Amino acid sequence: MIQKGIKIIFSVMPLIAAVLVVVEIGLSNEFAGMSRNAMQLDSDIETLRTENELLSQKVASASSLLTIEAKAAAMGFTATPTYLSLGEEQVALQNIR
Amino acid sequence: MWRIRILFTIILIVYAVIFLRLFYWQVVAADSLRLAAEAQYYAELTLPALRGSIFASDGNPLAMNEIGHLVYAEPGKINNIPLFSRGVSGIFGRDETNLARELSQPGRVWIPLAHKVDDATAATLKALHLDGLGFENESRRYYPESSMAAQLLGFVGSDTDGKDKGYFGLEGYYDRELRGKDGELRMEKDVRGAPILIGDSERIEPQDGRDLTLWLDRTVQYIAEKRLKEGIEQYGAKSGTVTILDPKTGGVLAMASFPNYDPGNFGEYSRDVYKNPIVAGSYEPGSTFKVLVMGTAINAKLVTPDTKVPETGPVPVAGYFIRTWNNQYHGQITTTQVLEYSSNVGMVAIERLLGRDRMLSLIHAFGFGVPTGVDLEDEASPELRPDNAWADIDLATASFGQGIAVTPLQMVRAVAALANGGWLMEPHVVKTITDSRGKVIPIPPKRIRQVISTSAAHIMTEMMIAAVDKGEAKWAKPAGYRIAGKTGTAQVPVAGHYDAQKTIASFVGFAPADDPKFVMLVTLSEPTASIWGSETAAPVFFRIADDLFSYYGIPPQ
Repeated sequence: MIQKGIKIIFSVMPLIAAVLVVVEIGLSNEFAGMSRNAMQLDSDIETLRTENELLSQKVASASSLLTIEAKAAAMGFTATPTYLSLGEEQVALQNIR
Repeated sequence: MWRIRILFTIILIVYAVIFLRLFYWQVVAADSLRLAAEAQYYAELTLPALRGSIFASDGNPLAMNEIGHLVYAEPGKINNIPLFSRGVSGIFGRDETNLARELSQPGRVWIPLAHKVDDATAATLKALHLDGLGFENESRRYYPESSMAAQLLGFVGSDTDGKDKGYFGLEGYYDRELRGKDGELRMEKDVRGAPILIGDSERIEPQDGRDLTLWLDRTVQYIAEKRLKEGIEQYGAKSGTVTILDPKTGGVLAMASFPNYDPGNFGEYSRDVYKNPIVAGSYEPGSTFKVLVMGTAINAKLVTPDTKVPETGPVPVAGYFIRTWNNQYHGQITTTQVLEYSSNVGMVAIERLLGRDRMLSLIHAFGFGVPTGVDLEDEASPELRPDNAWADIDLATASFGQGIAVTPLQMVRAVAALANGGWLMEPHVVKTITDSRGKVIPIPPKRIRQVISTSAAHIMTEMMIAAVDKGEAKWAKPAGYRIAGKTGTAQVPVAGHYDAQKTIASFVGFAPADDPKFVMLVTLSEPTASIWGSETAAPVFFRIADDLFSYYGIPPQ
């Protein structure tokens, strides 16, 4: 009985080994293919990062005070005039008390 | 038998040769072969760290990164070198013949033509459709507000290795924090250069630089620069500065100086404009210094605002005569009137009451002669003469701010102590630092020492309000506001004597006087419309103050 079991194991082992080799080759090929996807993902990330930087720069440029001042002037906003306050002593005509 | 021996010897010799050859390849040349194999099988990339950004207090960026381009040539792919050189040299300002010669050199595979090229120039080059012209993205510094706060920000240039390095201002002072740390990627690659996922790989992530958030208020800076520029043009000055601090924290709200430059194109300007005159320039403060001397006398209880001092005529000091600025003398005047009239003679009387030790002590206590510790790269302090080298005439003239050199930042920081209850603060530009993971590191305000008591500071505030309301600059003051201030007109020393026509006109003050929101110093160098601070720097100060009252929503009192 034991000898029969050993014979069966020894006869199946080559088959198992062959299956494992096939599986290993298949998985290795799968990983090798995934490396191309990994490169593509890296490239996509870099593209998105570049786009993000470009948009940040555009937002910063549009928010700069120089840009806002130019747009305000174009829309007709004018600078608030500064008024000079005169004290009593500086007015030529004063009420005589 | 001898044939067998010969054959045996030949076989031994062959084995010896094989053994020696194996020894050579596996032992002697092992390292070079290993390196060659690694170069073939491994790719090594530097993962560049992004430089940190600099933000104003409202969160808008003052310095950030934008996409630039490395433009390169691959001579092997160029069909027509003269045409290529003609097309490219004009755009970069390079000599066409030299470029063509460089491209024609045998063995050259890759030649960098320009770094950090902007988008517009890159687009112009791409439109030429030249074979062998390549582009690679690289980060470059961008200043959205152009020349605003240029000397405070500094700029980013290159070091001797060609790597980005900050110079002057914040870019220089915080270069290590802003630079970050590049990462590395080392991985096995296949024949096409694609990474082998099941192979060896080693990745060290880059640490992006830290971001800085400033005390600086973009709007306050804009107002300061606009009004300063108008003032310089109106009064025909050579240059000017405006420094605005928060007196309670020492935070720098604005630092404006003209002439300035565009840090994004720093190479187009003279190196003379790179240094920040507010922290690196020196001047004699003139009558603005009187408030510090008077404050010390008040603090020492030697005088009160109503104490009478003589102003009967020129006062002799060590063979010299000290006169008033307008040669008018009012007899016995109060110490408050000394500031209202800006009387040099009155200040000599105060100096004599203080004495030598207290005069020298106040100069050191208010922080003169040493750097303030502000976080800007180019700060320098004018040296003071040693304590034992001060003659009587030096102390007398120092009492009204002549014969002593200070930086604008030292001066405004000292006056800030009068505005905040007597505390000398360490000025700071940066409020918080944020690392790449978002952790915020605050930089707390730092009190250095109490130079005068709170009550003495309040008394000085009232005296300075009187100096504004009744002094020479009263006509320019916005109505309804309590502003504490002092005019200054200091002669400029030229070749060992003072020039009668060249002055540094200044005005220092804080407002609203009862709860100061800002302390400000305006200096105009060599104004030609008038030499007096009351007629040049004071109006600029009050215009800025008026704008700030509107901006901060401070109603008249």
